[in-house]
Amino acid sequence: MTTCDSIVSQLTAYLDGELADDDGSAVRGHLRECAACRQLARDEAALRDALRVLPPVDPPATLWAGVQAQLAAAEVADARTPRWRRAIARWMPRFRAAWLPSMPQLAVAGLLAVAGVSALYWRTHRGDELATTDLPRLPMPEIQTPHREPAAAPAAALTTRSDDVTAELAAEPARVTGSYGEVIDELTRLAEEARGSWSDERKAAFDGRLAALAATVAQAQDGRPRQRAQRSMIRFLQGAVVRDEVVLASGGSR
Amino acid sequence: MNSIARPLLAILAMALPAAAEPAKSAAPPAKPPAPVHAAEPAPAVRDPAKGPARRLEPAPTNGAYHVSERSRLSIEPAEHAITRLSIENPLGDVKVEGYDGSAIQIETHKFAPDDDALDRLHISLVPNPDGTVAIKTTADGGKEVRPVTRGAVRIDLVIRAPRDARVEAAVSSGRLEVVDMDAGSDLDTGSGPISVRNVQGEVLTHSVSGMTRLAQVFGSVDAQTLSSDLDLDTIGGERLIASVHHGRIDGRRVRARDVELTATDGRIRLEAEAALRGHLVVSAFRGDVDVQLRRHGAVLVRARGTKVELGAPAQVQPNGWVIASLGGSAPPAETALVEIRAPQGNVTFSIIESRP
Repeated sequence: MTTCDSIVSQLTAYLDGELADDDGSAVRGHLRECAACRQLARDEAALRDALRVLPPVDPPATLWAGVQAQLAAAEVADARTPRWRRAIARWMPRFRAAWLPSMPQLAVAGLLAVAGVSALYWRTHRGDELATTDLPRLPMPEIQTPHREPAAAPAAALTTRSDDVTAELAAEPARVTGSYGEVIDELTRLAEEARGSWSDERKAAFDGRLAALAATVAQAQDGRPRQRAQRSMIRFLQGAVVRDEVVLASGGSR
Repeated sequence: MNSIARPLLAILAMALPAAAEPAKSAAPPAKPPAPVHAAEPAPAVRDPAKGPARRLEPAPTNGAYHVSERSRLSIEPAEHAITRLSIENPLGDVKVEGYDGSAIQIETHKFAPDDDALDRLHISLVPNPDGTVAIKTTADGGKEVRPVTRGAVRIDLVIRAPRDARVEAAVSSGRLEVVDMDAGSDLDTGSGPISVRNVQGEVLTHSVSGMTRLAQVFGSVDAQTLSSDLDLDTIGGERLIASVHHGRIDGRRVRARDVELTATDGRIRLEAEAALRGHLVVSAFRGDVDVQLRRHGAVLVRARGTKVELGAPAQVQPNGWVIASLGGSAPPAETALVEIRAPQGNVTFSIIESRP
């Protein structure tokens, strides 16, 4: 008599085509009659298909670091646990679960999960003869693992031709920064023209604020961070020139 | 395997919550994106029916494109909802459209003069556990590749995203469009135009020389351009700050409580509704300012320019300000304040609708 439990334990081997003829026939027969097991087999096949089309994944470094940290924490916890409790925990897992921290279990589970991913990946990629469904290996956009910054734009240095798209893309941030810089220069000139009518306090406030903003621009990283700082500077200069507005050291404005 | 299959699903959904449905299009690229189907319950699965098909492409504008490739991708949220979408596409257009789903659906369309150039174009995805999905386009380089100019290649992205995801996007000369989103956006272009429609939340836009249009935005708006015009239509919420250096500002149906429009070199036209206790500051250094106001209560207007017309009896102060009080007297705390400056231009102010 074939039971659902026995089918579940043989399902992977069956889908891999590893069961002997009579065993495979028994599984096949059960699946014809049992909707629940049939659905289970379908889900598993779908999972395998999905895994097959995914690119290889390197576990992120943070995962290993986390596992190591958890193992270290578990060892420290073990060291601080009385010998008698460790002995009980070793022989009576239920007591252990209730009395001791679950960190070791989490760490081991993490390692097992990674090992499981690797094993499953290997199983699903080792040969087309094991495939339950033939899915074409299609090109797809690169999918990177979490916690990783997007790949940097191809370095211009790799391309010797300045008219190549990579060189043009690499030059783009500097071009935008230059455009912002030109506007800052223009507004600074306008501010210089306007400051003749300003009070000394206002001049001092303007100069101080402008110097602080200029320092922020100079210290900012190239690209967007610097452009953000430049935009703040432009806003300030526009306020001073167009709206005749400068926050004074005394707390007032204008 | 089944005993480990379920946990693995969760692990993979976290690590790789994306799957592609690439289809190098065998048809002209103008077709609207077909629905993208994501697998249940976790990582989406490619549609095997869609095979790769690269095609000769009718040249769109400059005659440089000859082949194109279209791909579709669906990213299902794993444990956490997708809350932020970070997009960087220096190679073409980006359109982000909000919808009532939880997945992010991406349609990419690459154009290039030949297959080799097409193969150099890449789109990377970085799904993060904090709910951020980062999308970035690049072009491969290297000494071995045959140079191709920037104008000869292109990647356009059309993205459907959950409405409550915040959009942060940057393009260069391409068009950047965001519609139907509820968590605001931060948009940045070089020379490409920006279009924002039906978006709520904090909206920030910056452009060097791309025309910027904001319509039906409710929340807090900060728009800045250097050398382009700015068009504002139906803007509501707490705050609207907009500035251009060289360019014009046109605003219609503006209802924000605090409004601050600034142009260094260009005129400003604004049709707005004065909010109770609101502040409206409109300044153009070289250019005229024309403000038409719908008001609900008392409004105090002060203006300065080479010529000032407030449409009501006004007082000229010794310091050059022209001041008019409209809508009767009210406590200062309940009076809307309008301040207009055009040191090298004319100021025109009028009430177009008055309600007590």
